[in-house]
Amino acid sequence: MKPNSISEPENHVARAWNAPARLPNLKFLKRLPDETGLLIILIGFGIILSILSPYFLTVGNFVNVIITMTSTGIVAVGMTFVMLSGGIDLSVGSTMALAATIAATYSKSGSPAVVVILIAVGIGIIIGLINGIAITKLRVPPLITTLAMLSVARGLELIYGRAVTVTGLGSDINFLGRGTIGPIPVPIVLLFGLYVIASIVLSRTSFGRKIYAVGGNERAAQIVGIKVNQIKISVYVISAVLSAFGGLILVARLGSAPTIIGTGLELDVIAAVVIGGTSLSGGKGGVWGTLLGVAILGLIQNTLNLLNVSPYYTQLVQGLVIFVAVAIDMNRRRGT
Amino acid sequence: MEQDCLLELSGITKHYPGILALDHVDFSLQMGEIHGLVGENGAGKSTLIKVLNGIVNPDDGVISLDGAPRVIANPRDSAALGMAFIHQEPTLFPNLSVAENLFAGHPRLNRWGLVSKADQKQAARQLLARMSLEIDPSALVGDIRLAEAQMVEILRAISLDARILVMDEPTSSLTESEKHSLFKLIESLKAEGVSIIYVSHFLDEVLAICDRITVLKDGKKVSTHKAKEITKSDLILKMVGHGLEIGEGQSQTHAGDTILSVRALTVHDVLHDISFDLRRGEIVGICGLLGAGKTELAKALFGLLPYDSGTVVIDGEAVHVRSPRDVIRRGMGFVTESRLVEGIIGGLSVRENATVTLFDRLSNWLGLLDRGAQRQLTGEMVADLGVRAASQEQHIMYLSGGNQQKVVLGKWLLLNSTILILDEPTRGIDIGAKREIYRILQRLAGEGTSILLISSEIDEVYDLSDRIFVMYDGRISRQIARGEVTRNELIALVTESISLET
Ligand SMILES: Nc1ncnc2c1ncn2[C@@H]1O[C@H](COP(=O)(O)OP(=O)(O)OP(=O)(O)O)[C@@H](O)[C@H]1O
Ligand SMILES: [Mg+2]
Repeated sequence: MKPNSISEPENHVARAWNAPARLPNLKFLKRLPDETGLLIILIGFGIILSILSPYFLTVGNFVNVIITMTSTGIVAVGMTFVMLSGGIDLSVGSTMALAATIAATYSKSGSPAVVVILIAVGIGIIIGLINGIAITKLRVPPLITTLAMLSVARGLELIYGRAVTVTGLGSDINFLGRGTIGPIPVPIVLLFGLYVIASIVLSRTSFGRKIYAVGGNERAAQIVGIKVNQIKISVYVISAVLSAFGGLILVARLGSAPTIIGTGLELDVIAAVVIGGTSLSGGKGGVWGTLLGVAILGLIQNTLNLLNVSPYYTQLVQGLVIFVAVAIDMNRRRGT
Repeated sequence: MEQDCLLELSGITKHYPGILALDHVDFSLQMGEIHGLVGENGAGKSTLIKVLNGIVNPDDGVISLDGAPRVIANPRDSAALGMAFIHQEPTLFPNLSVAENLFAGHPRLNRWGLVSKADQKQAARQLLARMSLEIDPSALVGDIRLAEAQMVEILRAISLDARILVMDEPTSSLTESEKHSLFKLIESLKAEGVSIIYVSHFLDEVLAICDRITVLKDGKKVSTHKAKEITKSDLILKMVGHGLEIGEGQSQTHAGDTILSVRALTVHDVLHDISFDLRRGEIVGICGLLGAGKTELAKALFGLLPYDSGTVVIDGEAVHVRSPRDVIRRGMGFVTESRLVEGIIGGLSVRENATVTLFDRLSNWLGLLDRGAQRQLTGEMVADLGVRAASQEQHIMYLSGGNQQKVVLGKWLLLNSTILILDEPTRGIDIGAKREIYRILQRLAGEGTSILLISSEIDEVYDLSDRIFVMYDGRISRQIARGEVTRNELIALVTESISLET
């Protein structure tokens, strides 16, 4: 029953539509739109800004925007994994704070960078495991589990740090935030490196594709023998570890660990992932869209800074942009 | 012919990326007529019906009703014109009760303007009784069987008192007795003057109940015939483009030693004391009425339904089956009955759906998947089963129902399982592809694969099986060897179990 064994003269029109010659350009059209909407928004911002502020189109400003967004960008990678699997992680900001505060304290007391990094990562693993196990084994919904963790981790951070900003970090750890590799700042190298790796993991590895499978149809994934629980636990661990790591980089750049670090971060990060086209119900999306989402958020803040707009307006504008971006995206998708 | 033309479609065209789903299709429905619509998987039947329903907006073409052109832009429009639809996949709300589903669009209200649950339950009970169904109106639709959901979908459409009723493969998961009550219902609707469009791959059914039949092929209308004036083989010729040899020789049994041995398997209230042996290279068919426990038996064997007692021995090794992994590891595969809920993975492409069972095997030590191998395996499967898709990279959601089913089946065939449990494996698959699947199953059995074939299609079970189990009320009530009974005796055996009881 091969399709071509049933060809008949009368269906040459349908044949023509199936002909490979037409496929490439259709594919191209189908491929193009996915992230174009976002790129257009980004470029639109760029044009407005370069008219309004001569400083915008400078290398210095770009580097500045990226560095400011590095932590958010790193955490957003983990959130993308979680949301692709059909879950959500509200605890990223608190996880960041707890890891950053503890790591900073160790750095202050003279622990070498390697130890400090291991501590941060270790905290991430523990929190991720707790989230993941609560969600899979105890069957508490992700929203509730991570909401609870948001509160618990923040509480632990305040208890541990006695609500005091940790200052005077070791100089070796500062390298993560302020150092350069050649002419390029370390955070930028880490950020892009992470996105490249994450994108390969998600699109090319068996682990990555299983995440999409679980998010796309959990029951079907279980039936074909995918270890659904293991995949889910893994994504929460990845999210928590990247949150901790993002916190470390932020602390290294600031040179201190203020207690309010990461407050409200979950909303920014979820916004970036959603703007980037990852579906809230799982199974669709990817990290490059997320990166564009992060960039859009970064540019909004940069714009308002450059134009000397009161920070009070930031939230307002951000909310509107998120809404518009997602609305455009949804309608474009429905159109096809 | 034109005198009572109720509904007329002309020049309906719909493009999808890479595929022309409908190509200037003309179709007419007369008053009080039952009009069959047939064609291979992906021929465009469901798309045509979605156009009528206003779910899909055509690129071109005119729809007229009672001689006046109409615009059907959404389902509200088609409902206002007096049309009701039964779609290929149940479109019910799994989180609502049967009664709530039946009256979802037009709830029964009490005098305070609130939904009257008691009223709805009462009305639901009456509707269900009309089809002699024993479904609890307050059961959640997510918890009832697929065939029951299909019946609820049918009843919902009927309760709308439409003058045009459109049915897309309404019998695809029904067993003989529900089919029977459906046909009786269709007859009485026809007598009331309702016009019906009837899509099905069961050509015997179509020939028996329809007045006229239209054939679609590759998105085009081939022809329309009076049912009395065309034979089944001519119909197949029109659908497929070439003849199919019907009734090929049954394969000879090469059954070897026992590979699966089940003893006293019991699931409280569902399965009672199930014992049987399955031998290497043997095809065992399982039939029985709705609710006999066929799917439940498959699920218990595959670790999806925990069993209370009993033993399962696979290839000489006792296995306590707690999850699909326990048995997949030992070479078992399971094609599930509900492709939408348990089969396809939305968001993934045809290639990935086909190879999802092989992700671990196709990745290297770094976990990187070998896309070349994926493409090659998928390509073979697509060619073997005749899957119609724009490309391997197409999202599986955009395939026609029958083509999705082929991929769901194909992914287990690719795994080279030694024991295959197939629950309605050919649901919604066209006649040509079905033959191809039968050939593949016989070849696999010849190579030593053991197959448990659950099907509501008696013919399928009768032709393929070396042995047949008839299930009734959670038990295997009868084991039949090949040739021991005739086809009609088997049908009687399966349906008889009702008369025994009531
Ligand atoms: N949303 C969509 N996007 C892209 N292609 C689609 C979409 N819906 C249907 N198609 C394509 O249109 C063609 C016709 O599909 P349709 O569902 O009408 O087939 P069908 O005759 O109902 O087949 P089956 O017997 O398998 O149900 C198929 O090739 C299918 O892949
Ligand atoms: Mg269809």
